[in-house]
Amino acid sequence: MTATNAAKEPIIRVEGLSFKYATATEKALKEINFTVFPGEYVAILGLSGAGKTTLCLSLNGIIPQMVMGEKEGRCLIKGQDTDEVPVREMAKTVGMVFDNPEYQLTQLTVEGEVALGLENLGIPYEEMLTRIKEALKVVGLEGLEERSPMQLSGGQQQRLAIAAAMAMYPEILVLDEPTTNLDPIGKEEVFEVLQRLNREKGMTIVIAEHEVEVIAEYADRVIILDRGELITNGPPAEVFNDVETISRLGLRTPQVTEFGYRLKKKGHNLPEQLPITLQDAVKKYSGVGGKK
Amino acid sequence: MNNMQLIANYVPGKSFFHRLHPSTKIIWVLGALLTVFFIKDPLIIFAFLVVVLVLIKASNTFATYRASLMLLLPIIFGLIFFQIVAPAFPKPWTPLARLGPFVLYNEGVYSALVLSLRIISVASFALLFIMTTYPGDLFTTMRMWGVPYEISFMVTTTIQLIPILQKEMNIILSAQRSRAMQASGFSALLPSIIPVFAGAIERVRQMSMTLESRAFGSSGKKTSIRQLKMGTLDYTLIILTIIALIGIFYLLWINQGFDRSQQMIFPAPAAIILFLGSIIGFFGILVLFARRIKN
Repeated sequence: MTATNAAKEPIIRVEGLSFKYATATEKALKEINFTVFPGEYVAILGLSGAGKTTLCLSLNGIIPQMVMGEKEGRCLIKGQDTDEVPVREMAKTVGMVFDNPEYQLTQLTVEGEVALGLENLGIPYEEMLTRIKEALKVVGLEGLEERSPMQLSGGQQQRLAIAAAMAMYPEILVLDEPTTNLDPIGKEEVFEVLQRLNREKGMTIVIAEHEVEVIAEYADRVIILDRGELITNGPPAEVFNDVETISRLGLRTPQVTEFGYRLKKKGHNLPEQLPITLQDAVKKYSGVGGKK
Repeated sequence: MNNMQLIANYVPGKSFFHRLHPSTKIIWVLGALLTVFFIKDPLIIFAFLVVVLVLIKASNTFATYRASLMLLLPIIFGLIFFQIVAPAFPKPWTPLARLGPFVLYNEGVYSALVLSLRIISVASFALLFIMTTYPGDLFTTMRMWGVPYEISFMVTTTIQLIPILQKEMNIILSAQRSRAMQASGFSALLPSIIPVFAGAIERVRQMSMTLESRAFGSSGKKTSIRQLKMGTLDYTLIILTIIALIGIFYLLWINQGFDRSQQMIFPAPAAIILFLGSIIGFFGILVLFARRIKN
């Protein structure tokens, strides 16, 4: 990644971003700086209240345009300042999935919900039908086109919201904890879908998430927020190996990394770089205990 | 309780009215509004109301309509009550009967009939329009007419918000009931209104964030999943409507709005029945509402 990044312009550039909600006394974001390059898959990790949602909402201009508060610094999407471009125009570049599924469904049918964004982009009728079909298939909601979104289960609603954002083929897809209502299999499916969009369509993905195992497996980069401050920004293998920092913040590392870390503390001879995914762990840990 | 429906919203269907272009229906509603408010003969307005009811029945929306009409009735009964005792008419008024402190006037009965029929018939026609028009289509049409984005958005969102508010209300009533608060009758309704509105504001905020995030109202050409086209039928109907409206207004002009307030003399018992009926009706509806909330 790094080699190609040097040549590319960053697609998201956040410079000294701070934000204080009008009703709050403390800043929700403090001096955040980072860049994202086209085609990257970035996960934002942090406890509740760390500023994940605030950061996500800043990426398409909802903050500061639709949420009251004091903003400092800049957030540039493809060189455009989110202060200046209306959210509805920015939506053509940045797709957004919010954390509460029920509130973000506004249409009377599942089909209409996915169609809404496409209508606003002026996608021709025929292509719209193809895209809706594709998006609903990807999230596993085919056959429910005529159903009312209000009659769907929480998990289905969340997947519908993802389908609606995804069908617009945004260059950047921002997801704020999109899998909170999903069961483990549903979570896995969503992450697979996102990976496919990322790999096949080159969509840049920014996702706020709690689940460290899935982040370790899918993300190219992890950003950790704590009480509004950016603590770490790096590849998951690096970030999750810093077990001390992560547990100090009250977060978790993947269990396989934690496992290796504890063994190491007991004096076991383990590789310098601990594995962060199960597959990797099987490779690296085999032989550690000796074979029967 | 869970499907307590207070105000009409879109009822999916494939009736004649559903298939008409919203433009045609908007012209009809505006035409009806103008006509009905210039007609002064209660019998003509009543005839119009009957036609509207037939149309509602034919569009399979009668159940929803009936539920929404309930909300209008207390206002109508209140209007009848006040008109009879204090008509919106130039004096002198002709007294028909006396009931305690109230003097019932002939002009009062007349204007009560005209006003309440006007409101019911126009509201019914407007409800028919709302019940048979997909909210998205209404937005598309308003934009097509060149109505500013903000106004089209406000109108469409308000209509779409109604079912959400109903749901919110039910959630809050259930929550209060599960905390052993009194959850029946009007005493339960009042403390839930503030949370419902607070919730509604949050809903609207989130909804507008979602819509903006889907490029709603952005610049550029728009397409629609619902193939909304003005058919030959729509053009024909609009032209016929305009011709009919010109004719109607000519007739209204030469007949002075069919004003029959001087010819129509109501018998005193009719006035008393109407007057008492409005009082009973008003409180009856309130009791009915309270009981519905209880169940």
